[in-house]
Amino acid sequence: MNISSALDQYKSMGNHQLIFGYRGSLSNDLVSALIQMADSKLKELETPFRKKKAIINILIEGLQNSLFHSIEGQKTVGNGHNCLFLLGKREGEYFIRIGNFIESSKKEVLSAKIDKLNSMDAEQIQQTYLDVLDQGALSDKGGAGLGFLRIIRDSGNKIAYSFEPADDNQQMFYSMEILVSD
Amino acid sequence: MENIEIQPTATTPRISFRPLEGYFEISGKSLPENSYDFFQPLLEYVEAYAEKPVDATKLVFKLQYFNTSSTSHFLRMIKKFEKIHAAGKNVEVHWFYDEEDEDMKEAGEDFKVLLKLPILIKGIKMD
Repeated sequence: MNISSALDQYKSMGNHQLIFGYRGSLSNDLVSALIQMADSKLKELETPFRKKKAIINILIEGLQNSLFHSIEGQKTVGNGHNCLFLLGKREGEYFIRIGNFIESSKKEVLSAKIDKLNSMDAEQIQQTYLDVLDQGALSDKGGAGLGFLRIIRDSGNKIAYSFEPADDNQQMFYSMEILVSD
Repeated sequence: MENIEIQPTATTPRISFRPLEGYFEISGKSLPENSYDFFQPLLEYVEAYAEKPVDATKLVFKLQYFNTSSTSHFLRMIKKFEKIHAAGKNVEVHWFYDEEDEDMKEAGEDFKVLLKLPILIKGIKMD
C-alpha cells in the first residue's frame, strides 16, 4: 500500500464520522473485544453513561445476532461468520451499522418481524419485551426475538434495514442501522 | 451440596454458590455464546438446593452487562428461588447496579414486575 492511499483512507474514515469499524470474521471473543473497544472509545468522547450503555447493549445484541444467524464460510469473502460493523457519530447522533450474509429465504420472515416491532410505540415494546422474557423463561431456549426488542427499546428509535443481492441468489447481505440520539 | 465457584471470563460471569450459607452470587459480564450450556447446570443445581434449602437464602446479582439470552436464564433461576419463597422460607434477591447505570437498575425493575418475591434494588460503586 502506498502512503497517499493510506492518507485518503484516513481522511475518508474521518469524513464518514466513523469512530471505529470492523470487517471480517466474527467470534464471540471478538464480540467481547469489540464491545470493550467501543466502551473505551465512547468514554474518550465523553458520551453520557446512559447513551454509552444503550450503544453497548445494541452492540451485544446486534453482533451476537450476526454471529448466530449469519451464513458461515462464505466462499467469496473468506471463512467464518463474516460481518461489517461500523460505529460512528454524525449530526448529534450515534449510528451503529451491522451487516452480514444470510440465506435469501430468510428475508421475508426477518423483514416482517422487524416491520412489526417498528410499528409499536415505546410502551408496547416494553410490554412485549416483558411478555417474551416471561414466556422464554418457561422454555429452555430463552426468549426468541428479545434481542430486537432490546435494540429498539434502548435506542428509542426504529431499526432501519436493507437486503442487498450478494454474489449468488442463495444469499443476501442483510444490514441494519440503529441510531442513538446524543 | 458442594460449593460452586466459577471464575469469570470475558463473556461469562463469576459464579459463587455457597448452599450451606444460603448464598448465591452472579457477577460481572454475561454474554456467553451458548447461554443454555452455561446456565442449565446451574439451574439444575439450584433445583436440587430448592429441595432442602437453609432457612434464609440470598441471591445476589452484580452485573455490568449481559445479553438477552442470559436474562431469560436469570429469570428462570429467580423463579426457582421464588418457589422456595412460596414454600415459606426466607428468600431475598439483591440486585446491585453501578450507581451510574440506570439501565441495569431498570433491568432489576423488569424482574420485579414479573416475580413475587422480595427484590431489593440498590446502586453501589462498581469498578
